[in-house]
Amino acid sequence: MRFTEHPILDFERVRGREVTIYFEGKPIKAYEGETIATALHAAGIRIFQHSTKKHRPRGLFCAIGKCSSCLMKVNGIPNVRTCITLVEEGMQIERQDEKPVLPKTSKPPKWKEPPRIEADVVVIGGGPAGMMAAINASDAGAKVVLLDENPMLGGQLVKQTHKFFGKREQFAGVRGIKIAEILSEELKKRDIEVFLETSAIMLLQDGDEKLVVGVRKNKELVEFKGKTVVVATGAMERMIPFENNDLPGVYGAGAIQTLMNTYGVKPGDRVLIVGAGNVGLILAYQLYQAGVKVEAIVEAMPKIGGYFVHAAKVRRLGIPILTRHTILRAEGKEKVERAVVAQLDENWNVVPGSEKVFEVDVIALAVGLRPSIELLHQIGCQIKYVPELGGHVVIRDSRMETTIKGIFVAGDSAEIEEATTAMLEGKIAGISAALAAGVASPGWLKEVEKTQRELEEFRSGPFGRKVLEGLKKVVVE
Amino acid sequence: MKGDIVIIGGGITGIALAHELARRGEDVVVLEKRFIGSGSTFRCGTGIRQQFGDEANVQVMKRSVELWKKYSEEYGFPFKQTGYLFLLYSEEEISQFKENISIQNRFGVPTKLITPEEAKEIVPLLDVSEVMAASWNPTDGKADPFHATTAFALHAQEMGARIYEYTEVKDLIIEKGEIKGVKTNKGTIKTGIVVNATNAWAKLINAMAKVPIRIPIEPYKHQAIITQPIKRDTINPMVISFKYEDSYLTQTDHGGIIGGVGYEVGPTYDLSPSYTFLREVTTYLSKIVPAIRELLILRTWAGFYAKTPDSNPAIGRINEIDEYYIAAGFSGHGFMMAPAVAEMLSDLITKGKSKLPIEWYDPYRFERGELRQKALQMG
Amino acid sequence: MNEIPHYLREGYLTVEELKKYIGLPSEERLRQRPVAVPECPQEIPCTPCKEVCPTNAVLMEHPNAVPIVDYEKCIGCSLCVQICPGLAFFMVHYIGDKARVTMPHEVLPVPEVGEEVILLNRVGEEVGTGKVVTVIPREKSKGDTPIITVEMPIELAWEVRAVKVVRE
Ligand SMILES: Cc1cc2nc3c(=O)[nH]c(=O)nc-3n(C[C@H](O)[C@H](O)[C@H](O)COP(=O)(O)OP(=O)(O)OC[C@H]3O[C@@H](n4cnc5c(N)ncnc54)[C@H](O)[C@@H]3O)c2cc1C
Ligand SMILES: Cc1cc2nc3c(=O)[nH]c(=O)nc-3n(C[C@H](O)[C@H](O)[C@H](O)COP(=O)(O)OP(=O)(O)OC[C@H]3O[C@@H](n4cnc5c(N)ncnc54)[C@H](O)[C@@H]3O)c2cc1C
Ligand code: SF4
Ligand code: SF4
Ligand code: FES
Repeated sequence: MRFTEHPILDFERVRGREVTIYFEGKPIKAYEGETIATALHAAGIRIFQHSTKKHRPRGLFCAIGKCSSCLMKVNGIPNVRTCITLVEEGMQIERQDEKPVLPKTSKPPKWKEPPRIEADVVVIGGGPAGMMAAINASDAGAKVVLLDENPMLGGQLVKQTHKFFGKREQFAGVRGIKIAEILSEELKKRDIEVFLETSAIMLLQDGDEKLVVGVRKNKELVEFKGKTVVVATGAMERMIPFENNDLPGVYGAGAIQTLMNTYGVKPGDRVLIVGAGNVGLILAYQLYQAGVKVEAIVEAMPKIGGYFVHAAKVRRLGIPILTRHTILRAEGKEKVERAVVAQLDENWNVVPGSEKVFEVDVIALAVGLRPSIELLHQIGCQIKYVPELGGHVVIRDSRMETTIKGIFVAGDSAEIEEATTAMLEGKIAGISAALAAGVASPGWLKEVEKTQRELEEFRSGPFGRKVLEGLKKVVVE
Repeated sequence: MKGDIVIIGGGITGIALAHELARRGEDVVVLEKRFIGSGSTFRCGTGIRQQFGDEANVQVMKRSVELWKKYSEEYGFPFKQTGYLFLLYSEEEISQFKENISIQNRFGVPTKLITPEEAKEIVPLLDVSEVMAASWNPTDGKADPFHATTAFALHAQEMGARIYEYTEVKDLIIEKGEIKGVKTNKGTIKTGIVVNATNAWAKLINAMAKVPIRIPIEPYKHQAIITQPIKRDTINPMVISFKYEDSYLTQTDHGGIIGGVGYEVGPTYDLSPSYTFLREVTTYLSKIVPAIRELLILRTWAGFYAKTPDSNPAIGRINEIDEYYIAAGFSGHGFMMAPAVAEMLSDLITKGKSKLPIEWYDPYRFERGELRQKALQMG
Repeated sequence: MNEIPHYLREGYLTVEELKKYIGLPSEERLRQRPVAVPECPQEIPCTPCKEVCPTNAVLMEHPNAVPIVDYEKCIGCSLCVQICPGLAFFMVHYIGDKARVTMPHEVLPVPEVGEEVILLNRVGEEVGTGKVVTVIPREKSKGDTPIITVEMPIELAWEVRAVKVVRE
């Protein structure tokens, strides 16, 4: 299930040293730098646990540590999120079929004062928004620290093998993975401290300043103190209800991209994609590139929601797009073996007799994203439900400052949009955060205004119009 | 609209009281500004114990446990007598608990002192390396606040009680010392009897009623955590350690470990989670059960301990206002007490007196400078 | 509610839609030299085709406008085909009774010059075979996308938009 050839990516180059891990005692080949879930998947293992009450099989779903579908026992420790835990030589992995039992011998932890990193601007999230915020805040004169829970910088970009839209100066025509590299290089050129594998778990007011509580590698506490904070934590995938949507083989689109484009592992052999927005369309193309057959894309709306050009790309490769169709159920004993879809009428009711069965082993859900606003919510930023922007979003001003002074937001965590706008917003937020921290000269305001105009221009088309409608409801001065 | 008795506050206290009064055939209305349980009740640590250090609380809690048992069986919500285990680390603590135990035993509560080894048999994952003894009562227990409050509410409604959610009391209408009605955001209710069961908000209602005596009840923020679920029966009893900052922990029906520590902030109506609490709770709980460190915390939240100077609630009638009752200021033990409080207060309202020692909670004691022995409290 | 255009319901353009929204070059122009045709009928915030064109043949009034090529200005350099992130630009050239269609090809294997390939129309149906006449590999392509030019019967010039390479 691993591929060695890919039209865009070169995995032989990035794969680490070969190691052996053990699944229920049997040895499995894995590579350093990949997650346990990836290695299991590459070995054809899909079922990671059984639910404790109804004993339903469970496997990977989100691949970013947010859903708990992949919990296993690793070296005797229960509830390990195998999708974000890297393999180590000799690791013992076991399925978790009951509620876990705690190990008998644990030592009480020692109280230690955590390291405290001080900066003018703390940036949470190293996707395009966070990286641009960090780069620009630094250029404006701020001491910047950035943290991201992933082992690598780039956020969503690291999975995106396709070329981006926009203007050339905004990286149009450049592949997402390449943009991630370019921005990381820019970060490195500057004196910006980066903490990877570090999750921000709390955002607090600390006198006049802010405190970000981080956990590194799931173990170590690290405190980040900043005069201002930029939250660029991206988005989370949505789920939709249908029968058996918990079967292993029902994956979030992002999880498939991670398996395929980050680790070079095929998610399965035949896929049904639910959702014809940009994510679903791009995923179909990427699957085809990886040599996986996409049986169809189903879309409940009467039209394709993503860019037409992305749809045309997959249609000409023979992938059907069924608009006004939805998934009724997944079928299969321990994992997905079939998907049943049906047509919808004008009133969103299933058209009797329109059921179609697809023999697939993967069902990919690409049914939208919602902003990750947990930290902003926790510290008490004002929040509003705005469907045009992807759900609950924070109120902010045109410089991306939230209702709490000194807390800025940018990118998908501000509203679901694009990498291009995420970068522009990141730039605005980064400079504004440096200004608010009192370290940037007022001259930088000009740069903010220029970037605001670029954003406005980008959003002037029909796709931007919807976002603008939504922004009217949350941008206040 | 009108109701003979209007209870302000739809927490466990107000709901259990409505239930008891309805059972006795009274016409009751509960007014709750949000949804039932949304105050402190749904945020509590679930524990129910009879291990107190004074006669009144032991007696009241003994009755309460009888009622918990009775209603959980009748209504089918989970109440489990899995015991309370107080870990004791010094001679001083032991002698204090010996005194408590003798009071408890006197009223038929079967608490006893056990050895660290015996404690470890009850909870094998305990670290007892510093423990010298433990105070153990197997008849203490825990109940699920969601199921319990809902069950009392549904049965109260079946017996005719009316519960209005999202109905906030804004003022009381009192003429010549006599209650005439209650003003809410949704209109006015005519009534002659009001019970203030708003616990952390009690002072605000007392102010509306212009209660002429001082009843000091202040809201303090207390927090709790719940972890990922683990195998059932891992930590059955409520385990308490005063040495580690009044910490407590137990396992819920679902399997998660719920727990807290003594860290408090207040008086305040702020409920934002705090970092200091998280640091303390993770440190201290894993001193009691080290293996807990392997679990992730799923949620943390805050609620109020409505505190009085002696940690005992104020329960009774305010004589100057005809007829105004209060049952509030429950500190960390209002959930466990609610069935007995409902009985005592119903007795007082319908019969003018109670067999239970309701005088202990006399709301006039602050004004008179007759504070009680401090109620045993943790978390 | 506006009528949803066919291409947004189905995900591909018919030749009629192409004529309506974009416009085709004249036969005369098609015989002169390769000419670029954008199949990008929807307003999206995207401009690299316009930015990269050496003769300013790609017209766009604003960054969200639909690109239209001034076929007389186009010199057939293929830069737009190479850069377009939507893989929506193609070039067509008529030579006798054959047509040469230049298209992006981002899947494996990349064919070699002279290789026979299966021709796919806009919905992926096999409509014949053609011969690859030029290949610009990824390394040499301005937009990191391999570009191939395939010779085919002239009547397929407006049908074929992808190829399949079948090897033993
Ligand atoms: C399949 C797909 C195709 C797309 N195609 C395009 C396209 O063609 N053009 C385009 O412009 N856009 C595209 N996008 C959208 C684009 O990728 C996103 O809009 C963009 O990545 C948002 O950037 P961001 O920095 O806000 O968030 P992200 O890229 O999601 O980055 C967020 C980062 O924050 C980190 N993080 C989150 N929470 C925490 C925490 N608590 N502590 C520490 N770190 C945290 C995450 O690990 C992540 O690295 C696409 C998206 C998808 C999914
Ligand atoms: C972290 C924590 C752990 C705890 N652990 C335990 C434990 O293990 N065991 C135990 O017994 N106790 C415990 N407690 C204490 C327990 O939660 C409370 O004592 C108990 O819930 C009090 O119930 P109540 O009904 O009196 O108050 P509440 O549940 O607070 O109800 C009062 C209600 O009044 C309503 N109200 C307020 N003002 C108005 C108004 N103007 N109009 C209408 N309605 C109004 C509020 O919305 C609220 O719902 C704990 C508390 C906390 C915070
Ligand atoms: S082929 Fe060259 S000249 Fe013609 S439109 Fe494209 S970029 Fe311009
Ligand atoms: S570069 Fe491609 S996708 Fe972008 S506007 Fe031009 S033709 Fe359309
Ligand atoms: S948490 Fe691992 S798959 Fe979601």
